[in-house]
Amino acid sequence: MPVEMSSRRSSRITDEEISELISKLQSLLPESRRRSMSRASAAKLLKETCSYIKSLHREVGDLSDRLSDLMSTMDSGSPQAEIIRSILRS
Amino acid sequence: MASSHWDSAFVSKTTAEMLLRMPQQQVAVAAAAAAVTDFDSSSSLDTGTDAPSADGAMVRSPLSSELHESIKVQNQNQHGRVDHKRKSKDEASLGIRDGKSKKQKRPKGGLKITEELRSSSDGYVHVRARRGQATDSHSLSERVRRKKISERMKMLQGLVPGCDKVTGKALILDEIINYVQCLQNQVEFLSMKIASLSPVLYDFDVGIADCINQPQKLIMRSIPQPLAYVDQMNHLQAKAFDSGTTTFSQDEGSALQMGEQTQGFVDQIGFTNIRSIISRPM
Repeated sequence: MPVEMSSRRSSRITDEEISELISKLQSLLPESRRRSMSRASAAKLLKETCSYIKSLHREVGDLSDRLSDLMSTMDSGSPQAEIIRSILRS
Repeated sequence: MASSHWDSAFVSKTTAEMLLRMPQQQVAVAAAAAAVTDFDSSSSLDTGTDAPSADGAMVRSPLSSELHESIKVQNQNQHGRVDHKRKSKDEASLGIRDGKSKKQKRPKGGLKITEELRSSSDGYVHVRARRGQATDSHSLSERVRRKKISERMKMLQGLVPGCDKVTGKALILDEIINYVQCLQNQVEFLSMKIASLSPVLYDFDVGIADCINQPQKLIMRSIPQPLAYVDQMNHLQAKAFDSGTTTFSQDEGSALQMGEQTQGFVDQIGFTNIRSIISRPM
């Protein structure tokens, strides 16, 4: 009994956990949502994750630029901003 | 050498056939000689085709260049096959004749290819088995697959900040998942802010009461996206606006901190809705 327990404990990170993580990753990727939830190979998933992260980086940069432009041009005392602030507080 | 003997036999036979069909032409003998001796054939070639006279020697030349090319290609193929037999003792090659494309490594932009996995001209993927490792095709393909996966994991480790300190597949995957969720939240947050700051672009003719009571239903409609988020992003946005000074380091930091809080609603609402609106060309 102790031998079996120790061997089970030594492989703390089971294959099941890893496959669970992989499927979780797959659910995050945008591609897998359009198709059916077929299990793609790990290598393909990792590659898609790579390109997805890069595209997310680009998008964050792009949005930040746009937001900073908007913020700089916008007058915080304008009626528009006021309206939005009040809506958000409700 | 067995291979070259075979080559020379083939060459001599083909050359003889060619000689029979081709008319005689005047060409430089030097070229003919050079082309013929380019094959790493032994003297048997010369003896075999020496029978024809000087005319025959000259005839060989115009053809020999083409012959040379075609035989060269054949040589490569044959050499490839012979190499497999010779190498099987200390190294094994993966045959891909069964058409499994995943074993064949095609160079793609941005993908690092190691020496071992580069596919050679004959279409076989050569893998060198290390000492003490199994060399049957199954474990080899398994090793190739594992190598591919670990390469891509390393690439991802480079992309995800703080991931190179982590070891172990599961932990790295965990980090990657967290990071992707973080980035998604960040994008969502930024899009929300932009949407809220440019009200003229969006149609606000939906009643506020509807928005607050049934945000879920509203998501399905394409138009009132910004307002639909209002209630749930309330605590976030109010903070940002009240502070007045929203610099970017702050925004991104807060987005990351509130990742857990917004995680629930991001999952619910679906990620692509607001993005599709924000990314529309203005």
